[in-house]
Amino acid sequence: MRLYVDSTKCSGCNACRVACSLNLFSENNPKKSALVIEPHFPSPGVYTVKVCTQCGDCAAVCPTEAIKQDEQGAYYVDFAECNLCEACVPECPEGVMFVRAELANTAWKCDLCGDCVTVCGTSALWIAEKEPVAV
Amino acid sequence: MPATLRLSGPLRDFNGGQTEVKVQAGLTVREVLTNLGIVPETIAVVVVNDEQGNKDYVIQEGDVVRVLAIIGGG
Amino acid sequence: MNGYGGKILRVNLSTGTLTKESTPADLARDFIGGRGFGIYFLLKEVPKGADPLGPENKLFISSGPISGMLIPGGGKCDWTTKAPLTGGYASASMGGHFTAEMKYAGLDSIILEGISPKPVYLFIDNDKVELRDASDLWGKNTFAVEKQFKQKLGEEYQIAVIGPGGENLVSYACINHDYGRQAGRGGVGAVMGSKKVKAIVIHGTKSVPVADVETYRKAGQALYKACKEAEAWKQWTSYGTTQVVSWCDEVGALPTRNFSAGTFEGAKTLSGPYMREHIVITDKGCFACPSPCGKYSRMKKYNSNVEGPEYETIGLCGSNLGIADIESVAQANLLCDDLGIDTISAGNAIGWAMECYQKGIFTKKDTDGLDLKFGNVDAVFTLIKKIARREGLGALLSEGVKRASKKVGKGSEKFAIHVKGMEQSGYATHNATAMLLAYMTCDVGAHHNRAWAITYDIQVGRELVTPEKVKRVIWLQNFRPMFDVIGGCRLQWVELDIDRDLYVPAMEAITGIHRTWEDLEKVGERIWNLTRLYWARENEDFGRTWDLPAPRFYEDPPKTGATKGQITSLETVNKLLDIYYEQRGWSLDGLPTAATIESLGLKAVVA
Repeated sequence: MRLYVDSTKCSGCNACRVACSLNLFSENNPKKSALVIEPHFPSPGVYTVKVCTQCGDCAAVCPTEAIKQDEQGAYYVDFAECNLCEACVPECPEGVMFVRAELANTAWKCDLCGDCVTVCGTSALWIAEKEPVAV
Repeated sequence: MPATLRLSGPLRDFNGGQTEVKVQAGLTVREVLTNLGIVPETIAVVVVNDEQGNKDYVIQEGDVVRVLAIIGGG
Repeated sequence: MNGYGGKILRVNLSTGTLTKESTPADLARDFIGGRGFGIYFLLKEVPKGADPLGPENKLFISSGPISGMLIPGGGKCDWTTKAPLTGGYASASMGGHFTAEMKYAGLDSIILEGISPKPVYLFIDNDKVELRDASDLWGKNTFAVEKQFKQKLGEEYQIAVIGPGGENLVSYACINHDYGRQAGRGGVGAVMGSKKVKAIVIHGTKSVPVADVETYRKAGQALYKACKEAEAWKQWTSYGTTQVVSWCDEVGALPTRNFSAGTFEGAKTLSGPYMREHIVITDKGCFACPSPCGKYSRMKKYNSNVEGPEYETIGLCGSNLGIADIESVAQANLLCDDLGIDTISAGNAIGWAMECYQKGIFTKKDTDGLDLKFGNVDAVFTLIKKIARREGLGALLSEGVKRASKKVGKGSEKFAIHVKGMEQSGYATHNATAMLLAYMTCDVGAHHNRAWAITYDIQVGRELVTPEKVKRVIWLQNFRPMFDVIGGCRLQWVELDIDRDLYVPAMEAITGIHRTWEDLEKVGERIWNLTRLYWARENEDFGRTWDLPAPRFYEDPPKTGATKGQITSLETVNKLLDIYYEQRGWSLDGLPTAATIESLGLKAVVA
């Protein structure tokens, strides 16, 4: 399973990112979220959204094995094991592996909780089976 | 199969709080609204089977007609 | 303090000093935030008789407890000041993402005081706050300046910026944000311009403290579920406020040719569905909104983009000017946004000028050679630019229709469509007594956002004058602006009709304070009386005559359209006010009585 997004439906509201930070950190702080919304204004006037595709490239390079898989096969960061080495960050093809030491003393990523899907008003986000071809 | 009228928001007050009401085919939307006690002029939008319609549309069997009152613009 | 940024930032532009103070707990308790903070500060800190464009006026920018939170509509901030347009109370509510960033920077209010000797912008990055030189930005349009800041500082920064309109002190200059949202009315942009503040750029990375995170998460998610499942969600999100264009046209509420009628023969090509089909490219939303009403559009004819037009701009810059081409209305919208002037007041003022020309009160000598006929799109574009630059006829129009018509005379005051000096917004009220009363008694002037009552008029009888109608208007005035106080948008309740009680547990979980909507409406009633007292304090002769509508609505029945031949009477107007004042606990001249002030616990505030 993985998260999917149809960027053409994104309104830039950021509710997903607030829900995400509440899930990962129990904090109301969208800068501590695991998806990226890029506004392109005034032209062409659209948003592009980057989400974790559960590809596992981050886990493959983590030297402390801090990136693990849960019972559903979703990759997540075990905060206790992360040493902020940042090896994972450049590996992520979507740019959704986050290290911001001033915000948290651990890397963080999407753990497929689904709260973003719940709050996305335009249904731009959904969770479904991983498909063989990368998006 | 009778048609279905779906009422938004405060219009539900005219239907005992329920969103849905079964209606007779052959009546116009305007007539159905009037029968419910709704002043047709308060309805801003009529959607018939997911397409824009209007109050003079004659309801057919199996239609799903949504009516929206305007409670506020801005 | 749970639910709050925690600090008030005071910016003394005369001395260049920036200070922070903790947000007082009793201020948060009694005035909650947003517009509530605004009126509290305005009464306490701006001395009686202050020049709106002078050093004693202040600009109060406030977020609220739901701003920046997982609550639908948590994206509004309030801009309160003494209005250049009216000399009374101004409060403009701005959507987008600015208010959220204030919370993340730890700020509940930003207060701009004094006047800067040189153009500056206010830079905020968490606790780092500075005034920086803006001399190379002064004179530039708002879109270019916002883009420049975003490119230089990054997309996480939120920008509020004035254009030439604000710099040139146009009475209805606005403040722009996020390429399409404004603090629009009353001239808040001119106050910022008078202080020589070009922009506020803000960035914050703090978490907002919450009393009970788990309850808040559940309550917030329940609100999103309710919005997404609302029967009206699809229609509302497809068209936003443009969904009422056709309906307003049908019931005679669409302002047409300077409000001379309420039905426009070109309304079909201004409708929501037509607009969506022809120019809309993105549904653009404010912070945390699940039902984005912003319609970002592409105008191929002009090779430009704009967020809009929404209903008001379609009304005032479209049908009100005799223009039926949606792309041209969108372009007028863009010009106003980029130059930083309010589309509603601008469209209303241009409509007035067009009627002056039609009646021969203006000739081409007065219009700088423009053939200022209704429907002349190019003349509208030219005039918008002239207004922003205060050139030629634009200088006169930039003062607002009340002052302009007084200067011009020749009967033009009869068709200056305003109340208290604020141009009437998008609903023609020849025969709709609740909406007329709403415009007459709105606390910033003729604006619709406090009490929107047209459907109610149609439902119960548009010409009726009853205590129930007045009661309805009063309830809406006590209730709807409370969304501005809690830092959010009212349109999820208004347009999707979600159960407003769903907000109660969410707000309690955030702030730790239990408040029902009855509690909030009491705060709303207090604020309503305070803003009324502010008008009275600032204007010697304030009273019933200030509540009168434009004479057009009791003297001038439309000759065409759905309200052909229909008109209210001056007798009805005064009867509405009689009932209204009585229900409000005000004198026959419309002033809160001592007993009312006492019973609302306001004696200390207005001392």
